[in-house]
Amino acid sequence: MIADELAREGTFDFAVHQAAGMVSVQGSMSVGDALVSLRAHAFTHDCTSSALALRIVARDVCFDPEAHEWRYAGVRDA
Amino acid sequence: MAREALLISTLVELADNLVDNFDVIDVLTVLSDRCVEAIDVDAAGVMLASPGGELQFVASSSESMRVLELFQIQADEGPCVDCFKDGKAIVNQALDVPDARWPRFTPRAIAQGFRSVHCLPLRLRGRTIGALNLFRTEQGPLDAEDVIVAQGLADVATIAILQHRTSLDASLLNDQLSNALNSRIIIEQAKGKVSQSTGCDMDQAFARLRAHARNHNLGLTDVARSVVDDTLDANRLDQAVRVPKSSLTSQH
Repeated sequence: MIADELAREGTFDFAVHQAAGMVSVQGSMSVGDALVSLRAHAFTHDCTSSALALRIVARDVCFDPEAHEWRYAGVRDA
Repeated sequence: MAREALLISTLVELADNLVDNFDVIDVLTVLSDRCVEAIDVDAAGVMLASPGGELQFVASSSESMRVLELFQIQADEGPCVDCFKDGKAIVNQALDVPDARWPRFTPRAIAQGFRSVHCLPLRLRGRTIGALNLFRTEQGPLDAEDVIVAQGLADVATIAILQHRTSLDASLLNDQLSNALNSRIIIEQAKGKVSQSTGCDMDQAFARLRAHARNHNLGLTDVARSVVDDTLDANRLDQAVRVPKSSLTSQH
């Protein structure tokens, strides 16, 4: 299922692309890698890329390059 | 300024932009901005059909998420989709009553402060390639003149997308639609990088990309691509300067 998602030509969801841009800066990686990381994280956490992207754009979730993990601010639900 | 003068300056500005190598997203953004000024609406945006036939947002007078979200919902349902499918304008569509046709769109549009919506088809020789969306925060119909002006601006948008005569060829037209949509994706990614790098919001990030493109005589998409592939440092984009809405008018 994730292969399908990754193989897809790219989503037209603006938030996902904005979030990928943000994550690429946070993690010093290419936007392409950021897109893959974002989708992989969403998939393994049972949420959609769109939902995760909205939280990234809201600066509620970010990628920590030092620890190589995602950090969630506050306890707000997605 | 009288509307006639505003319209003329808009057409001059657009014609000025439609020289070779113009950036289609930039031109459509200018057009959306001018719709808000020339017609009595609060937000305007252009949606284009992907080669697969799905409508996608490409440009808007506002980069704010609340407007973009409405476009996104309309990829599935909404007046814009219906306008696109039928190739007919939908004007003076009040949003104050639940509409069975658009169960997701209508309540969201109301929640975000909009009270009426108008959609005009982007038409090319019998084929509809997209639609121009106009949102109002107040009820009440657009007058007949507004509708004519709006359709005229929609036609200008169509010309902008087609770019060249050769694009009357169907496969090339599809290429151009794809290009416009891909440009939009690159711009969104660049906005994310600028926003993260400089701590600004998405609106400001877009304004900076646009300002930088203008100042350096570059295409908006080219600037965005340079930011995405790291050949241009997101921190080093020019600051967006707030200019009077119709910069042309100040010269008269």
